[in-house]
Amino acid sequence: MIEHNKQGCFFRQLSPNKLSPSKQELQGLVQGKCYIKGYLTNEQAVCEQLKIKNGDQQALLNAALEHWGFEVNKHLIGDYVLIWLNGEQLLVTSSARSSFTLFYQQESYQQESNQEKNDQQNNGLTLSTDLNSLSHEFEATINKAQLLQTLALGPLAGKNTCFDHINQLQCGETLIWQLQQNIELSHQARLSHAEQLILAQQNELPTAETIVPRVLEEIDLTKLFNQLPSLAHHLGEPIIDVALAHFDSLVQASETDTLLLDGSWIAARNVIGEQPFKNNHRWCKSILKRPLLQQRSQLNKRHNQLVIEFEAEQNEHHKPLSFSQWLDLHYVIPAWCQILQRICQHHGKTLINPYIGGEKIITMVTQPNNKPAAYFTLQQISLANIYDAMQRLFHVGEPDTLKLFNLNPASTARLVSRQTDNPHRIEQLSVLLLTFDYLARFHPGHFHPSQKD
Amino acid sequence: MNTLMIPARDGANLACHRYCPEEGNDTHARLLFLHGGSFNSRRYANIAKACVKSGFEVVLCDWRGHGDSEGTPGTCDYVGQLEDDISDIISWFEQKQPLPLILGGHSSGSVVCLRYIEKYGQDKLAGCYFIAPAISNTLESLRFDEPGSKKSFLMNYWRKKPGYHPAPEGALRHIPKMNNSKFLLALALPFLRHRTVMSFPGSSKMAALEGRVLNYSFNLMASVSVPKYSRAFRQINIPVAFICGEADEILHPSFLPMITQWHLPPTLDKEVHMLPKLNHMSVLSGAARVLPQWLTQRWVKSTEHQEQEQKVHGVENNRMEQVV
Repeated sequence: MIEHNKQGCFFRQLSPNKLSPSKQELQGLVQGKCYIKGYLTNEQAVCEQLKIKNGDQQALLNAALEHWGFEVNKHLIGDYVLIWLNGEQLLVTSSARSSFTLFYQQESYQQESNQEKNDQQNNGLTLSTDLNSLSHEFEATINKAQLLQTLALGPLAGKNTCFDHINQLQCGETLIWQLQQNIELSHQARLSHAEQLILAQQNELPTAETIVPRVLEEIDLTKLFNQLPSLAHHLGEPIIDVALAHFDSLVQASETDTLLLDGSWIAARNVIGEQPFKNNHRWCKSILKRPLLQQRSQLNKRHNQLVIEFEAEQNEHHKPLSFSQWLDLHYVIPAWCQILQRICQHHGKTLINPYIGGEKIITMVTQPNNKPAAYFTLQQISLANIYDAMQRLFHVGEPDTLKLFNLNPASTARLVSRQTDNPHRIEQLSVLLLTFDYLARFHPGHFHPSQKD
Repeated sequence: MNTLMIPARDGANLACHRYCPEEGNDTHARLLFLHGGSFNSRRYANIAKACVKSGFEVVLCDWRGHGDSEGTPGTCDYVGQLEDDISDIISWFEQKQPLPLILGGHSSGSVVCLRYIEKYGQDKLAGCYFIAPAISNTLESLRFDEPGSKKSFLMNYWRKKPGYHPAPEGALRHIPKMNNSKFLLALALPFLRHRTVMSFPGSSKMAALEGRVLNYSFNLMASVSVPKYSRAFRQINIPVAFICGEADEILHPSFLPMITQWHLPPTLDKEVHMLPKLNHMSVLSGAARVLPQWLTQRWVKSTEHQEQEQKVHGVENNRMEQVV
């Protein structure tokens, strides 16, 4: 298992060109050695099947990869991402409904040599388990379509991240790159949703101490408010929900390294209605500026893709699910669990997710949802009041924030006045805006909307 | 202690009271300390002595028109003259006897330091500290609501203020009073900017005995305020400490923790000391305890490390010589 470190596992390969020799930076990766971030739950059975000495995980992983190749995630059960550097081939894969994440960037990009000041084109591949370090490595710009999607729907599991050109390995996905003169993606496959649910059901959970359930009483809201910027900094992206900062504070305070997820934390996710794409962005339309509104076509495109996927899968479930339930099961909950896992990883802890599959998760999805309650009220002191702080951005916000959002007192006051109707959504918007502005302030290179807008 | 009269760029002599460690002891760094509004350096001798004991040279500066410095009491020539004065003092010391410089102050003195950092940057500074910084330009930073705060809230947020918490009688003894109409007049008519717009509470007889200045003009008042604290704080990239009493009458107790989390760079060396039961003035006794500790942790340790490093390098160099 890759040791937890705040830098994240990092692999970088640049293909050779005329001006510079082949450059390969390996941090924590060794040829022929397989790395796993996460855990396996059928190690013993696979050892017996492959006749490997029990306890030697490296031998087991190497043998499993030699034996099953790119289908290894159908046979190794657990919650993990795997990285295997073998000769000129790099394989990355993740388990069914994995809560562990791996980010990668495979793009040709401009690299400026400090000595010669010559712009040269490089074809490179970079992997990291930490989005923050990867976005720091490159001058990644914010992906506005993804930002609009997060505003409208909350985080959805998928390939895109909040940065342009930085992607995420999806649950149950396998990618193979050929690291030759030109780095090429030679294989890309993903387990179907139904396959993932079946595989995840076979998980036998390791023992762990349950994390404290989410209870809203007796929370120091000022402390929680002040927790948001450091969480945004560590995750390297804007935060969508105060519940994540609450979770972060409890993980930080817990004394054990392995924590069992409590269902109350999944209940804090953003629950999407039946008409999500058509209606959900209207409520905050008044504060979106043209650069963000231009992304609506991409949001609609994403909607159509999901509808097609949903209709194709309808027959695969024993119990028919509505579109929002299906979206919740396959996109909302996995994304939420991935963020929770990233928070635990930042503190050097591992989250065991009992809601990875099986009846528990189906029950959670199909039972009537109560909308999550908001943490903050308007009565909270102005200094640490999420709504007042969001309104103050009109006066003190970063130019990049003001370029994307129409934060005038009239529109924000109107929005805050709706706080009684849908407090959780207004709180989410405020949190996202404030953490976006914070990141724009201290990482201006990353959160700068592209010049095209 | 010896008093130096340092010439500012306009020829006015500024009084700097210098406290040095005993001869033979190492001086780790120099502290420049700016007193709070209406006061002068006399009140801060205890902090200076405590820091000197830890091996730091302390320079208590009287603002122009305050204490032993020259200048018209209660006003200055233009907005921003105080930070220009600090720049002149820093340059003077840099020329005469350079040492790592740590800049800070109490109450409005902290705000002047912040303005200096915003205007001149931090190239000449090794660290900074703020004791109960009186940031009072905004509604949210204040512990108590001012009489016009409901109206100000409505103008800023376009909705009604949810609550109103006026200052109790006891707190009013420490809070200066602003004459809004005189302030607006001075804002509109520059020739009125030397007239009093703000008054500190206290009897004029006692003030004369203590050498306090009770009335401030528009120019002086604007020189000790920061219109956008977010912009000013974010520029800090040197070690910083905040010291404040939990019972401070001006600052909200959550203000400084919020500043460190939201408005200072995430990887900066920053500390907040909220001292229980202490108010805006009594925090000085707590600061005399906390400030030397903060300084020692950073500058004394680093000096020792340097010595260790020098020793190690010395050993390595010796080894290299032997190999050669």
